[in-house]
This record gives sequence, structure tokens and C-alpha cells, in this order.
Amino acid sequence: MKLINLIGKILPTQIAYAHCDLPCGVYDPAQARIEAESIMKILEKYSDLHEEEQKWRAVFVKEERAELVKHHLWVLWTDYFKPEHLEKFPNLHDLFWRATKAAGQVKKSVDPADGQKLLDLIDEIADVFKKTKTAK
Amino acid sequence: MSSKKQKPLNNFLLNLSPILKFKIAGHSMSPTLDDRQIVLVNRFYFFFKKPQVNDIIAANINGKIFIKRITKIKINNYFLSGDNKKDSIDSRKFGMISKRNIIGKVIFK
Repeated sequence: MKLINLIGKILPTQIAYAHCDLPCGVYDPAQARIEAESIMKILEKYSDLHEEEQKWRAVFVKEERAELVKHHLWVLWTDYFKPEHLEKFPNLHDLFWRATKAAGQVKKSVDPADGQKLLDLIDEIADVFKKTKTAK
Repeated sequence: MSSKKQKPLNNFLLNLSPILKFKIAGHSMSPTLDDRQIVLVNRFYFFFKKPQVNDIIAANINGKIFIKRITKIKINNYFLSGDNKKDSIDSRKFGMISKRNIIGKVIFK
């Protein structure tokens, strides 16, 4: 064990990746939309739920999905979109800011209108995303 | 030691050492391996043994080094996954890898 510690100290450190930013460059707003659709369904069904257990579960899953929406949007925002995209679409930062805010809003809301707002903003992002793809 | 002198020494150690040291960047292997954790990789481990399911390995994929777990083996092709499925794009996206992509086994964390 001590020998391994010594080896560890002598050797130069390299970086090994364990995250999503892969050379394959696979990005798609569809990931965020699927999670947002799931939130929307929960919001639509929430008023029909009567048992506490079901309501609790719905809220739990909704919050989990909202966090995933934020995650997928952040990956797009920080990894996919580049400064040249911002030049073409100056509202990009504002759009992502509003979309991630909307993802936060659905956590504390049971109003389907909030779910729809989130979906609309993701669609706006998807539209910009599509334009950046066709521009290549 | 100046950085100019350090570089050839580092390259020398990297080329010859059976053990490589990596710093993890990302959360896809959590909770097994955390972001910024240091791991040691044995380059010669798979000279004598075949990679097995559940081995945590370092692999070179398109010039980038990844730390992942082998979760399936199919005719000398290896399917890699992160332990944190929510935050890992892995062989589900980049496909199975072959043995020549494997750098070594994580032996110490």
C-alpha cells in the first residue's frame, strides 16, 4: 500500500474523463423535452390524484425530472453552444436563463400552464439548435 | 525543477511506467469514483488476464481518456457504462470498444 502511495506521488497526473462531454459530440434538446413532457403529464394528472402517497410520488418525480431538464439545458448551454452561436442568436443566454428558471418554477407549481411554458421555451431552444445545425 | 526539465521526465515516466496516474474529471462514475479523485491504472494487467465484466478501466476513445466500468462483453468487444447512469453518456452513445482501446485497469483509488 505504501509503495503504491509512493508511485502515485512520483507519477505525473493525466486527466481521465468521466462525464458527458464526449468526442462523439452528441447533443440534442430532445433530452430536455422528454423530461419536460413527463413533468407536463404529471401536472395534468396531479389534480386527479387523491391519495397522499400518489401525490407525494408525483411531486417527487416532478422535481427529479425538473432537475434533469436543468441538467440537459446546462449541458447544451455550456458545452454545445459556442460564442459564434451567441453572435447569431443574441437572446441565447436570456433564453436559457428563462428556460432553467421555468424548470425551477415547475418544481414548486402544480399548474399545467407552468409546464407548458417550460415546453415552449425548450422548443424555442430546439429551434435555435436546429438553425445552428443547418447553418453548418 | 523547471517545467522544461519536468516534461521529458514526465514523458519518460508515462512511456515506461506500468502504472499510470489519472485525475477523474466528471461525475459519471460516482459514487464509486468522485470528480477530481486520483486513481492508479495498471497498464499491464490485461496482458495476462482478459477484461471482465465489472472491471473499471481506462480507455482511449477518439484520443480522449475515459474511466468507465465494463458492463457487457460480446466477442472481444466491451460495453462501457458509468456508475452514475443519470450523468453518463457511455457505450450507449459511442458503441462498444475493442481491447486495443483499453489502456489498463483501475487498481487503486
